[in-house]
Amino acid sequence: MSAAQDLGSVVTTSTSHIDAIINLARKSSIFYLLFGLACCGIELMQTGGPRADIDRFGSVPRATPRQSDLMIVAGTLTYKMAERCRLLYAQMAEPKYVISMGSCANCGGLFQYAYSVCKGVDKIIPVDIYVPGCPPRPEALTEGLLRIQDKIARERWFSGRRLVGRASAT
Amino acid sequence: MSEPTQKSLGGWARDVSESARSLWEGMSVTLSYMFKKPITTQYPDRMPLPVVHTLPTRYRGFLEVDMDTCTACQACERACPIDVINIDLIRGDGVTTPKTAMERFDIDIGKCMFCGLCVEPCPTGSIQHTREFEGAAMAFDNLTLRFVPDPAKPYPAYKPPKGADAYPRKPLGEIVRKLIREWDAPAPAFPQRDGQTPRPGPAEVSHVPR
Amino acid sequence: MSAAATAISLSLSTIAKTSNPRSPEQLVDGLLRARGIEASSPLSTLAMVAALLAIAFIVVNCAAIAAGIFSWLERRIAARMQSRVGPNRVGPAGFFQWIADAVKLLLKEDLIPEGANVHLFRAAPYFMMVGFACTFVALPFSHALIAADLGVGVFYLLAVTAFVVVGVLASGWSSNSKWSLFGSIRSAAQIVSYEIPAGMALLVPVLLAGTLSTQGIIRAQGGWPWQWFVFHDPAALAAFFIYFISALAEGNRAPFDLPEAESELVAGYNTEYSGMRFSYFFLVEWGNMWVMSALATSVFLGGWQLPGLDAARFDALTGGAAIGLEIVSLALFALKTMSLVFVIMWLRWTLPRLRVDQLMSLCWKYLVPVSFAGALFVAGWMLVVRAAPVLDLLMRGALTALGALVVTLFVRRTLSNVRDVGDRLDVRGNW
Repeated sequence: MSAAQDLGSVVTTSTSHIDAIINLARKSSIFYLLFGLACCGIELMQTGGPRADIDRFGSVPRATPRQSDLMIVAGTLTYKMAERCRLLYAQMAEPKYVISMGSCANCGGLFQYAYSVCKGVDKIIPVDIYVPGCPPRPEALTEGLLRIQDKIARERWFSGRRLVGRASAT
Repeated sequence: MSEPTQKSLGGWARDVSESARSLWEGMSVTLSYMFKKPITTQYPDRMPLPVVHTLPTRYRGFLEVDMDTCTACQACERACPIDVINIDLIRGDGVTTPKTAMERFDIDIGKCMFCGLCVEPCPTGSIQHTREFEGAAMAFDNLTLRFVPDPAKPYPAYKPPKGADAYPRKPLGEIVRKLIREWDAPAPAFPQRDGQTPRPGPAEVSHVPR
Repeated sequence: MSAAATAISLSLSTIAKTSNPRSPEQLVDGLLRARGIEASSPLSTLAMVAALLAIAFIVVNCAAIAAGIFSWLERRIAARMQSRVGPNRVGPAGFFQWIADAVKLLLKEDLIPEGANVHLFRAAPYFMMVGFACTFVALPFSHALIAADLGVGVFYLLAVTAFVVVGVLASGWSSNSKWSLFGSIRSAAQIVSYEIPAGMALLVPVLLAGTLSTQGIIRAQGGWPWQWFVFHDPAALAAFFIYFISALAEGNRAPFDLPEAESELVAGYNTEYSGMRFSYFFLVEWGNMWVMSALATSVFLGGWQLPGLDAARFDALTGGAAIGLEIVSLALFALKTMSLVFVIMWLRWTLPRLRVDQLMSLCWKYLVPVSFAGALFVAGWMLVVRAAPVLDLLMRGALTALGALVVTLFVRRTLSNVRDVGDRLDVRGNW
């Protein structure tokens, strides 16, 4: 029994080491989709720009959803755009993540009572990280990216069932 | 080079020389930038100064309410154009229970547009913009700042002293920082049966030095 | 272990003994003969095939690794030219960024869009990879390091480089996406157009050397700058620039990256590709930088030629000196090629993307006439030089001096640019 346990623990540790290496690689290379919808899009560009520079974390913009891992929904999501947003999300290759950036994407924000605005991007696609702000500073978005990295770092590929993060304690 | 401007050989040669000159200047500029110091501020860990200290003086970050000086006048709730602030009052008899108390004081920073309209009517300066801006959360409900943590323990309204023109206030940002840190707190340990060692909850999220 | 050591020492001694191992076949042949195996025996054939397979494996892997490292280098250089820092979290100065990217792309889902031609869609990246890897056969790395010194080397390289367009067209057409199709059609038009000035420009060194073999062209040059073909005469200088521009356009590099223009076509011909298949496209793009730079170095910039050492004297060397100088010549070749690669990256982050009509006008109105005139001029100049050899020396000296002058002026201009901003020079900080 003890031998079996030992073997099990050896397998677990080695697989978790492989997991750690794989996740280190994956989290250091998050390509994000060029997808700015409104004024948050300007801050998104700033985040990729020289001062905030999320290329430091290996994040570069890709124009096509097929090659991106992260969709940053930056701005007011109108119902007309919501269809496209969902289509773009469906076109992304697994594993994929979503950051909802700014108040409008979180819940509709100040346009919540408008007839044409979707009340939050989480109504149509699953969101991993919500970044508050109107618009968030580039550093705030960078923090959101770091939270996505955390989430990726906790995923399992070999050891045990694949854990896709958890919502923190409310 | 771009437009078919000149049909003559002289125009052709001018196009070539213009291209060469612009290439010369442009390449020189980009090369000179290569040897200059980058302007990147390496948030979060490799910065000479925390971002908070580099913000503009009147930066409007997350809203914060000091419940100890809140008069429960609801002026901020009325001023908010998009119903970000929610205040629930309960009335008491004024003897055994306070006359006015707040059961709920929620600010939904996931919806807030940081316009500052709520700060202006506040009679005691209880509600203020802090300089906090990092609050990414994994669940949207977490973005609601609950300044009355427990509805069962309502906060009594603050009665400002007669003629006062300054009110005591906690250092700005302290309350918000505490509330945001609670979002990231590790989940409570799983409940255990008798005679078992408690299992720790899922690992704590800790990468951003706050 | 000891067997391996023996084999290595044996092969080293064979290299030292065989005075001129020009190709891997000769090397293997020499090794077998040292073991006392007849060249005609089936064992010899088997060993030859095994050796060639091993060499092919090494060459393809070296190409892939070089392309990966270039991706990191390009991101760092681009970042510094934009006053950014660039990837710096994975490994020292972010060096292992390319490995992280590769691992992530390997683990991504391999999407094939609905309505795509599945077989062609899957095969297209391999077409590109084949066209790219085949170029390494005829590329000389040093005095002896060349997979096969083909008699038609330059011609072969031109032909094989154009094979990439098959992959581009296949990927664009099979994706069932209008962006991909636009991108691939643009790429085809571009590559077909720019083949002509590239071929005519390469004709100049071929004329000068009198051979199509890449090693032969290098041997016709010398180690000193004035012995290079680029400074041979004005037409050769122009041919160098024309070849460089055409190679940029053929490799779909900026400012000619119209096939993958983000602002117009989503990502061009690789719009619908995800995961590892997408990374092949980029592997080819970055690897092609090495190929075009290495070819330009070989035919125009003297290749591996060491200053002050004749190729004939190099051949005659044996023993440790031969091996040492081999490494030095390899390093020199790599240095020249890397500086050209740097220029390609530098150009990418300097120039904006051309319009399609500008691209075509540049090719047909400027490069094609000049390259044809240059080829004719070189033919005439060779006759003149044969009549009066002193003119050759004068011309080479004048052009080399001109090159040195231009470089000096450029450096001064750049330094004054740095000074104008009042910023301090900083190459080491913020890595």
